[in-house]
Amino acid sequence: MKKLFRSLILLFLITPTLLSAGTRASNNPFTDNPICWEQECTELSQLEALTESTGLSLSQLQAAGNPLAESVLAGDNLFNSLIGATAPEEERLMGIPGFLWGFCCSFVGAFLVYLSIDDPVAKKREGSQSIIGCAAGTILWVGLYIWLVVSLSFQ
Amino acid sequence: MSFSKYFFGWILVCCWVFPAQGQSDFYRFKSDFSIKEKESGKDQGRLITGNIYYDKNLHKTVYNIRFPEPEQWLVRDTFMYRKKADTLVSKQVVPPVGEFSIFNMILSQQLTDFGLAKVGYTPGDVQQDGNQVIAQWLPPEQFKAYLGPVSLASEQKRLTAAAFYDTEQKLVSKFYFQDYTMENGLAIPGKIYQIYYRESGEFIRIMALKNIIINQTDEDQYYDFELPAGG
Repeated sequence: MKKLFRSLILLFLITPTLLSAGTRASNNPFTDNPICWEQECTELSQLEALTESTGLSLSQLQAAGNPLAESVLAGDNLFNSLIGATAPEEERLMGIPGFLWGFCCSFVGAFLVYLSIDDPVAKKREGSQSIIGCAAGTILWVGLYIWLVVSLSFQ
Repeated sequence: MSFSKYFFGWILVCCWVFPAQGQSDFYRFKSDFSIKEKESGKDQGRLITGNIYYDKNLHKTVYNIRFPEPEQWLVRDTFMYRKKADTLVSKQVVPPVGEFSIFNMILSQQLTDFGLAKVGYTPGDVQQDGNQVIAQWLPPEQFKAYLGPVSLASEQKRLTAAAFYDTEQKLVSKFYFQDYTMENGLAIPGKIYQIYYRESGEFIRIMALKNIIINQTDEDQYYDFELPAGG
């Protein structure tokens, strides 16, 4: 029970966003050259070198009109980047995973998720998660209720 | 979105969440870091630089962020305190960040099999491709309906790459581990590439670690920080 509870907690906390797009497995899938990803991030690398040498922050660079500052996304939600353990966050209602909305708020949560998200891909993903959360929440509470009733009836 | 993806993600997370229990020979990690993120087809990305202090036994993590703006993130268990210029600006409940981190995985010496054995994956086919040994890892029997296989590549017994698939054998994400250095007998990658394959395109995250110190005995004020006043 403790293990199940721990697993559920983890599930609710993390709710990883793993997506269906992709390519089929080959014998050796590791033929990529990471240099191409470095090249994708050339401006960020230049910015990194600049900030390392000058110690300037983003706001200072913006105030100075440095064009490299334009290569950085606005906003200060760094949390997912820092933990780096799950897929990057995409559009979510108040930044909270759809699963949690469904789990905690049941059908109301799922309804809110569907109403509030504009991006169709995110709407489908978060909406599905909220329904799964809703089902998981219902099963958990029904299970707990049955367990409680059964355990009390045997006392 | 199928239910299997939850379980697949959950098992990934478990790789970090359930490391070796109890005390460890390796318990402190300090490093400078940089994180670059870019989504394919987009001009802007994200850059974060700073340094990190992590104590595995105390479950405390400090992120001293230099860029984009100087600030400090103090994480203890599931509470995160965010400070700017020594002033507490927010406190929030978060997942146990330290437990999820690559730093914990390194200290727990779970990097060689990505912690898969611990969560019930079993090794399958193994093949040699040049210097690379590529091993298939299969999910536990009871979770095969939800979990896909994982391919791990290693060279000289060091994990160099990992590929995660869903149950339909579709690639979900890849990790590459490069520029290993030895610190206190621990092999630590200096660069980690994470690629997520989304419907909208690839998402790239590059994490670089340098100036790594293992089991540092000073700077206790970071490893064992006091909770901020008002926190």
